[in-house]
Amino acid sequence: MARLVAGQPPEHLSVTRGPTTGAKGTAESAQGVLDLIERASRRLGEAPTRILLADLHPVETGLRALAADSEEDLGGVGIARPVSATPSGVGAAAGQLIDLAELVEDPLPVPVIPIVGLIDFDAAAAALNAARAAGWQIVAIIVAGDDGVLIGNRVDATLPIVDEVADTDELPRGAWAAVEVAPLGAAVVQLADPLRLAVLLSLDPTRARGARNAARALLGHRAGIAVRREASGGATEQEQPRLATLSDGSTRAIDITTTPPGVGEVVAIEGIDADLIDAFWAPLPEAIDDAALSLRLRQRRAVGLAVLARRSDRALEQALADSFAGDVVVVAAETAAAVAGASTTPGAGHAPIVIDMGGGTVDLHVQLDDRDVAIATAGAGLLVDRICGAILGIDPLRAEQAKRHPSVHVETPFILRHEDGSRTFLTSPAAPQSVAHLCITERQDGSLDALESDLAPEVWARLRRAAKRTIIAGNLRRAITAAGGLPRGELAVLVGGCAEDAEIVSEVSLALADLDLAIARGDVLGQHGPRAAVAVGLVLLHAETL
Amino acid sequence: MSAPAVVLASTNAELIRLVAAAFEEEAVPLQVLSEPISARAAAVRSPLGIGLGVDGAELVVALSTGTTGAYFQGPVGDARLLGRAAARLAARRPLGDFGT
Repeated sequence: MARLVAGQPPEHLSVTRGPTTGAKGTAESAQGVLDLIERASRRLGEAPTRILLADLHPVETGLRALAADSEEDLGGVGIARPVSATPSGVGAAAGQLIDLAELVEDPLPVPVIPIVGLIDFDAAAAALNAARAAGWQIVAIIVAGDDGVLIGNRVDATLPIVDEVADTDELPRGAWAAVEVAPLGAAVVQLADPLRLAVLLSLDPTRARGARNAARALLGHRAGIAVRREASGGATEQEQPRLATLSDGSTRAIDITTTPPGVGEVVAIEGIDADLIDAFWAPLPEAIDDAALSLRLRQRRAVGLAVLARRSDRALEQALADSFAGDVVVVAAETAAAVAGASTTPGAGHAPIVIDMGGGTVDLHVQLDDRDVAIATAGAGLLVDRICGAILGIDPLRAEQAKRHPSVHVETPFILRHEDGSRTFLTSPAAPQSVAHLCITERQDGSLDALESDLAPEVWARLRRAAKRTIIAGNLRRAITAAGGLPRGELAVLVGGCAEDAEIVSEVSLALADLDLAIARGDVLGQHGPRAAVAVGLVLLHAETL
Repeated sequence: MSAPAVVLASTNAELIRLVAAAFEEEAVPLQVLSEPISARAAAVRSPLGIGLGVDGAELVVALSTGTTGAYFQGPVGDARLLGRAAARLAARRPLGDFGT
């Protein structure tokens, strides 16, 4: 909010922030604008008479995973990866799946793998022991509840037994299956070897090679189940990635193995009906020193996509005009406003390079003697949220917190391990739900937000930084290339919400080190940090016209 | 020196069976005391600093330090789940669902 009087410098009254209610420039976003104005007016005791807007373009950010997380049908082999921390026994075995209740019949002439539902472990053990005595060849056991060790101790502690298997009802009775439990601290070997898996499942040679994806999917897991799918007979059809059409007429799949082209080169994307300005995509990051984790992330085939579209309407302006008593004025392009706002940073003077890293876009504005270039690229903070959310298995709002704040692992109720490996002690115990969990710190009430992810804090920190590097710094590189490069030794001022994140500033500085720029964080009006550059810039630019 | 174990104070045979099963499944040692002491007192007697005791209709899990009250608790009927959470606490594994 600012008071404007013709011929006088603007009087800046307040800066207020609030959540958006829709994509930039859409009618849905108007409510968020009006809510914010009402809040600011209440605080100020005065209502504004004019709304100043930048010429906005909507950005849509999403994430699409092309593979299922838990159960896959790969090359005619169904697999399950039980999450149990306490399987029983060690080794691999193959046999016919059978219900525990059927073991009262005459024994089958083949090895069997009984499926134990949610019944008391003593009763289950008694039934299994009776079946063994009657001649059933029990080579492994699948248990629905958390009773693997209990049953193993009462039947045979050497038998591979996997427990906490979700949806045991869906395992096809009568099908041939293999079960493996690795020693403590190790991962399955036989099920992760396609040839051995094919032998265990008695797959014929034409289908043996199809087992490679199933074997790969079990790599790194302590226990696994593989089931021969009789009806499948070959590789199942996987969801195909979307195709992007480039300006030269060629197409490029939006997938984890492809890179986005330069700024503005994507002219259309399958399933998106919009006049595109730019499109950018990024996969989940690589875990550089952990091949098993990298594979786990790759197997989800998750790609975050951001699309910047040209507006064909004035929906926001119209929606605001319908609800607001005063004027609604579109002042300037967003990048021009960001430059004006960034220039209020003490010591910056007229900043020749302004980098606005917001929620939807990374905008580069270069204003030198002989040229004035503005480049907007799709994909910024919200895309980082999507990627972080996919890594941690949480929604984008929670991921936004996880992105901004350091994490800890609660080792015991009193000991926290931090991302740098250091430990601190608590004087009162952490909540039970947080013990042995990766947790986000910095909640307003001081509590820890426990995540289900099994990542160590140092691993998560590397993945988080990699996501920021790929998306923010990577997109900035695209913008710089599109701008034809930047002059060495110049001042570049970073503004926008992402510039509040010290990790992003650090990643950008490292990524642009070869350009020898003086990279500084904006401090709009000397008191608002890097945020509000566009809003303040709009006020300054509009004041010049009065 | 005492062997490392979590201490359960109870004389209820079914409750002891369920809690012991949870500890066996998690491969965490459990010592049972047939004494009418609180979970906190049991925790003080535990070399691992974790104790379980019954308070009315509740099974209480307590720590020997840092807090004098229950660390968590729930109905005696949830003894298996509460026992599993206590065992996992000792083993530094995520506690999972254990009711209230």
